[in-house]
Amino acid sequence: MQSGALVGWRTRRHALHLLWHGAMLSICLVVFFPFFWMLSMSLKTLAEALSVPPSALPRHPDLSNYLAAWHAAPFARYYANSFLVASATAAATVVTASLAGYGLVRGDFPGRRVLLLLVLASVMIPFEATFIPNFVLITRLHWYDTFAALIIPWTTSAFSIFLFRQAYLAIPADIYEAALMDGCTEGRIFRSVAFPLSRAAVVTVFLLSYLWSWNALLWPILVTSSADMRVVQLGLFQFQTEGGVYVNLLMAAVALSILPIIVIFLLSQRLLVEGISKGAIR
Amino acid sequence: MTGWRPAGAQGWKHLAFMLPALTILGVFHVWAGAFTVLMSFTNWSLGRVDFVAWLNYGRLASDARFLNALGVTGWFVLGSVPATIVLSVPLAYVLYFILQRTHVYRLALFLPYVTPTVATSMIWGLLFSPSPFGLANTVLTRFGLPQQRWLLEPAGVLQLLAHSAGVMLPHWAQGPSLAMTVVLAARVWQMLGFTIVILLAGLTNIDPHVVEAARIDGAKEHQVLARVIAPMLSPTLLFVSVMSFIFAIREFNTIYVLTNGGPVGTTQTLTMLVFKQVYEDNQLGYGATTATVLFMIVLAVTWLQFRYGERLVTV
Amino acid sequence: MRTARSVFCRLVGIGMLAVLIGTPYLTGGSPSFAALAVDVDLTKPVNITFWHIYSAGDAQALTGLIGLFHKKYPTIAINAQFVAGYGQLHQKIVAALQANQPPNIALAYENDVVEYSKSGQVVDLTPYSASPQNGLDKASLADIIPIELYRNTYRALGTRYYSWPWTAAVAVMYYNKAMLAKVGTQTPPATWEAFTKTCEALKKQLGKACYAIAIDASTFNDVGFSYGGRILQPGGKATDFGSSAWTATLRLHRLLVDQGYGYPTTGRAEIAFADQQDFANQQVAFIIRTSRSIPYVKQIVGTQFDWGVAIPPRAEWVGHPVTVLYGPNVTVFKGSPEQQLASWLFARFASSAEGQAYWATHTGNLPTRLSTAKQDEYRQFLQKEPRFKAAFDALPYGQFEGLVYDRQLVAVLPTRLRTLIEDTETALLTKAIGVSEAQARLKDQGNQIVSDATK
Repeated sequence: MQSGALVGWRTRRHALHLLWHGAMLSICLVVFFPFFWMLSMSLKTLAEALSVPPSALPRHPDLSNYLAAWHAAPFARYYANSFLVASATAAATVVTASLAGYGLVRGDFPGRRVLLLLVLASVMIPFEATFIPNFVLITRLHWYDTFAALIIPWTTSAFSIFLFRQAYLAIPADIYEAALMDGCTEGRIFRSVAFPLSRAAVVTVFLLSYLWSWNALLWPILVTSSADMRVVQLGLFQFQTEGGVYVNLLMAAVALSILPIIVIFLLSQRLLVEGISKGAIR
Repeated sequence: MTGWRPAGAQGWKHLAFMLPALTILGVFHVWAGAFTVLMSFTNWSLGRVDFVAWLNYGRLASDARFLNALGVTGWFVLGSVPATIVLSVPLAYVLYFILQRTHVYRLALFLPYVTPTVATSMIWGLLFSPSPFGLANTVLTRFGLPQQRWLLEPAGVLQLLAHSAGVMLPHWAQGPSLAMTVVLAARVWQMLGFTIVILLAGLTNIDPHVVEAARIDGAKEHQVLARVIAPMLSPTLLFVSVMSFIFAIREFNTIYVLTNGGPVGTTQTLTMLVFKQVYEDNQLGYGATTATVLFMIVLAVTWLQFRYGERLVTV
Repeated sequence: MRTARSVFCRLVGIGMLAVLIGTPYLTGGSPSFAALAVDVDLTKPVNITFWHIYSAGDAQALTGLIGLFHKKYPTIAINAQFVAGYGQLHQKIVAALQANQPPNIALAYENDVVEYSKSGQVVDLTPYSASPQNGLDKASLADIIPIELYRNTYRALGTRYYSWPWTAAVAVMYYNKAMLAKVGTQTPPATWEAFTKTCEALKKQLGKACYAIAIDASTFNDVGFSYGGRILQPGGKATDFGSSAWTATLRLHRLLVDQGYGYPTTGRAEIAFADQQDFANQQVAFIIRTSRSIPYVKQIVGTQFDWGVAIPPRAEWVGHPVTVLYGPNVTVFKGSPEQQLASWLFARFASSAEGQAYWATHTGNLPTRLSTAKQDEYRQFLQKEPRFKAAFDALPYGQFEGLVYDRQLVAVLPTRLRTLIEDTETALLTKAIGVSEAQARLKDQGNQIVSDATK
């Protein structure tokens, strides 16, 4: 009788778990729908992609759009550029933001609170207004058409600093106290104690900085001009012509352009979950 | 949690930690921002820069487009930020505590944020085309409902609903336009994954031992939620609230591709207005004025969020 | 308290420093060039940059055109740089002008050129075009479609050429021959009365709407012009929206939606599929769009049905066909005298019969020069492509939107005026307002916008 009750309880738990899966799956399917439409278009001919009434699935799924999209522009070069810029930006942001977040949290200088507000204030004016002075600065620095212009202005962000600040605030006081009592300098505490404990923030900041750099369009257009400095986002504009938008090719190109981000995302989530189960957080 | 900073003169050393970030921010973001604020006192355009003191601000106060943009921005923020947070928190909770091994759900929710806005907006524009043969209208027809002009509809959503009941609402109660509602839906759809990713990171700050201890002590699930998890999540929630607001005000691409300021200006937020003033009217100084006013509003609201939010935050 | 104040003081200090450093950079100041020699020596290699928005097949055509030019002028190398779309191109040029680093030559529309010229960095091409050595002779000038020259003659800037014709397109009516045949119409309607009658027949017999109305200022203006209207009054300081031509235009639009003959779709360039989509799927019989879309529509219609292109209808009492002219121009920015001359030579070559024949054949744009049709390449192209022939035939009737009643006077329309037209059209077609209120809005707000812009 005891084992029967145990089995009953397990089955109930399984059933509950399945219910959660079902609910989450349905929500994800709804959210995924426009994306599904995008993928469907990428496998159709232009005429079919714009057919009325709209058809959910392509009649003759065709991968040739992907080939055509890839060959429409020197995408290999664009990807290389985007990889370089996004990786450098993301790595640099993790470094600068984690240091700054730590300083904000551990520092006892006056105006700390105001400084956080000022850091945030730096992103409050819309980009559309501020990019002219920034562009002029880039030309004065002779960085026009260089990787420096693409990377350096974005090697930190208020968002990342703030996120790291929250992460360091969440570390219990006694851990800091213990390290101090061991005679560690602040730099040592940061390197060996705080930073390793902020794994979630590191992963998230890297992912988001990478993504923002990868998806940036206007800034790369402004600060570069030579063909071999172009990034993937500009390549996507190949399919928007004066006569019309070649949606099927565009959607194929977009699907190709987000593959690297998907990989990084999945890796980041794995790292995140791994960190939890390994107890690295605590 | 706040009593552990070392007392004494060590404080200034920590500014050094902040130096790289502050330099970048200062050179590329604060300088541009300060410049914009100062340019708001000029009539800066492609041909000249003359100091005009408060003239632009005076003009702005009676500018119909500006006043419209204030209202539209209000609708945009109210419509997208709370909805995104309210939807993201339970989803993040389920993904973190219950379904933590199934990354494909996280991916599906994050994909809208990953995909370039030009593509996602195109799809939304296609699905919600004003044409009678667009997908949304085809679905409506199948259910016998009247077709809508979606992204082209300047009439208020509440008015459209009231209309079917034969009621005419006063102007102030008509709600955001249907076009704005579609834009809001597109934005919430897009920001859901972003918010969830941040919440998932924030949930890692929750000490599982404390949660286990509470459960072992016999607390029911909803008590664990309210008394243990929520307080530990509150700093992340404050973060999400502050950043979501700032990003919502800054939103440009989605609106630009979908409606470009919308049918009869009903999706013309302050940021869209700045863009138009700078690039269509070529009035850079006047655009800087709008940007500065926008900045002041965001600063004020963010400060308020910190002031009252940090009281609620227990960590 | 003290902390906040010290931070505030620091901020003000940064701000003042910013102004000290920044203002001279941003005002740039128009460099005072002494009268530059126009006909400089070009025996040494010259490099010029050309900013454009051409991708795919158009980009290949551009490379071909540049190749042809290079054969004639081997010392001139052109670095053609693709800049996403017109919006991004404009933003990039504005930023470049602020930094005093404009390209040598770029695509630009007239209203943008007026703005760019305020920076003092746009080259006046009049001396170049008049140069006996490097300019155009009288016959060549006369061969360019007059309206194209008028477009590029800026009345507000002293009636001089601040840009040069590059390419043209016109608004045309795409029509479904099969659907028209079904209701007994063999030729596309030439007047709005015939158009409305065809719509009535289509609705009664086929139960279909006849016209997918893409909300767009240029298309709306085309209808206004076809009723004999003008946008600007003589003198160019006020709009002419109060005239009966525009009343008729607004009435026609409202009639189309009231009777169910037409419905509005969006004109947003990025998502403007709906009208082409519905046309290609035989849901409507007519759309009015730029002739640039002919290759695109060809691709989405395929072999499903027979369709053609014709000049848009006009009012019965207007004696001649009317359409609207599209197409960007090129503008040259200040640089070294060699670069300026090289840029001019490229613009001149592109506008020559040889250049236009090549460009029009390979891109589906229309030529800016009347004699292009005599060039073998283009003549054969027109013979093979009757739709482009129809668009080409409409070219002489193309009107420039900034035209004032006296053809000699050309003004430019501020972008805000286009937005006003589109907003009013949207409000009218979604039945939010009626015809008289729409006209009042166009007149009053339009006058305000034009007077602000011409202050």
